[in-house]
Amino acid sequence: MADETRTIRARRGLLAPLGLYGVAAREAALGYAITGLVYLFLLGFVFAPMLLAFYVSLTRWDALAPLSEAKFVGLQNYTDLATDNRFHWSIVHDFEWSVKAYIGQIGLGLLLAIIVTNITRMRALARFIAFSPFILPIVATAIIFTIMMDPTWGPFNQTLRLLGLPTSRWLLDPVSAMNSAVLMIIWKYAGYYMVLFMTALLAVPQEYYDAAHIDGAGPIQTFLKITWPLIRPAFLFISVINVIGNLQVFDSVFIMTGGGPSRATEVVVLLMYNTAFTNFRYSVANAMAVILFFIILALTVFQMRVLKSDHAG
Amino acid sequence: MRAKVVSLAPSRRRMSGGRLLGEALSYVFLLVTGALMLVPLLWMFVGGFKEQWEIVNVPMVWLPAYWRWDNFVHVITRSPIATGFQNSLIIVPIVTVLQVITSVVGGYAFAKLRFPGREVLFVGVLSTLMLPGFLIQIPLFVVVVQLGWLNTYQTMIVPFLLTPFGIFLMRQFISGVPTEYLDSARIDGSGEIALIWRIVFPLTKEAAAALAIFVFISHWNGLFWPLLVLRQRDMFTLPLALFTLQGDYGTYYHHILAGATIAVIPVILVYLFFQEHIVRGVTLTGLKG
Repeated sequence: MADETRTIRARRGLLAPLGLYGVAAREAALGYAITGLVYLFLLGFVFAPMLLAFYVSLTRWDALAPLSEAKFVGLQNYTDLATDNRFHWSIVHDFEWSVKAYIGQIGLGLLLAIIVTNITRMRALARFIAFSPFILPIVATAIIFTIMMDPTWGPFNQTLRLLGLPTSRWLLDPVSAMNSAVLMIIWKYAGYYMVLFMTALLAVPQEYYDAAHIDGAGPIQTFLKITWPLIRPAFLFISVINVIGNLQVFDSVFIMTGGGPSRATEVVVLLMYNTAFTNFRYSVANAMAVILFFIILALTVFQMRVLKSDHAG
Repeated sequence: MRAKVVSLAPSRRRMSGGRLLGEALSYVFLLVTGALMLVPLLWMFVGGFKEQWEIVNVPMVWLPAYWRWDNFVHVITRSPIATGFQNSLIIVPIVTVLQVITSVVGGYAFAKLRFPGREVLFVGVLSTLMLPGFLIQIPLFVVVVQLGWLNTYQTMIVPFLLTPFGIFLMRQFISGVPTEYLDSARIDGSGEIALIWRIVFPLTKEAAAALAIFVFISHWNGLFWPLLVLRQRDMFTLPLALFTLQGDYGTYYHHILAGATIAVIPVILVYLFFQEHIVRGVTLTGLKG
């Protein structure tokens, strides 16, 4: 008890310059205590690692020797990467992946959302099925697709043969490997984007549709004149999230192709992982991380600008 | 950000002939898409019971002649799957519970406690929200090595005790709790912990549940971080164990599919029971992708 009054008095004294006394001072002290702990944690597990990444990217270091042995080389890693073909290709593959996944996930997700919000029965069932791939471990779904895509006996090719359609070598052909991996990620996330778009679509007041119906507007006209302008902010927001996520792709490619064949699917984070943990060029991997970070940041800022101008307009 | 609940009330539009045709086409499209979405899962379930030749046979063998439970017994007793399951079952609930607690407490401080500089400090937390995971985790690996935390539970738990996203999400919802409730409880002599537990938490339960679901799913399924910091088989999480199984078993597809089934079943069960919560939770946390 005596201890408690003493600490309260101490706190009161401490916060008095801010004009806080008594109960208000106690509340503020608790506020500072909690935010202090939050910042302490962020310092250790977010800010420090980030600074470390920037610093290490300016050195030559394999992460096995002590950090003190890291040799400072300035921008050497960055200038090396600027002329590194393999790294350039990984960025190209990253964008290829992101564009294809974006079109598939957003396109199919929006299409499904529009259809499912417009049917009268079995909406819940449709949502249940479409959403289920999203919650499954990506390791499991990537393995299933990899096995199903076997060119000889895989159910994909056997079905195509049965239908008399041309078959594919799927993940084993450099030309089709990227598309095959993207196919899995579209399957996995279409239902997720459907659910996000359904939220936006169902927020459009029914009265608007009724009015359009009375005015004799067709479904396409209704969509372009009423639905689209109203869901556009949500659409842009979902787009930003999609692009940020897809540029960081690792798991699916790592499991399904390991970057191959002939490095045709080697994306940035995968190359980063191999550079750091297979080739032990850890500092170079950090330089890649920093570059990808700025690419994502630039794209985010760009898309946020579009989002803002959309609000203003 | 306000909570939006996906309403599944039937559409009030009247049905004309054209609309009826449109609706029929919609059902056909959904039927085909739905079937395509379920096929890989069904193929995995059935494949886990087949013999190897039944999987690689041309033409396809739809159902196994004999349902081999042995595949599952084999995978559980001889592969890292069981250990992985056990480790995930220890790690993931701990991360989930602790992260929800820190998010509620942190969110409460930023939403309801009055102190100078609060907004600036909150913006500081927000600024880390969009940082990509790899930028943190690749250097964090070095920190973990220096601490001697490779192959430990704490390396899977401690870095995720608190996330800017969790604090951000809970702050948004706790802001909606009327401050008068809190002040009158304070006048009645309630301590701050009691305040959070008795007033704040019950009023924001739904958001906390959404956060819990989000944390649980992402940690149950995550591969990148375990791949970096867990190098001993007895420490593997379930996704890492399954990934290793694929490497170890090569063409023993029936065993790989049985392992995948074991990894998938608990998630499916949770999904069946908490479907509404999960879908709503993902909508609330959707901005995290």
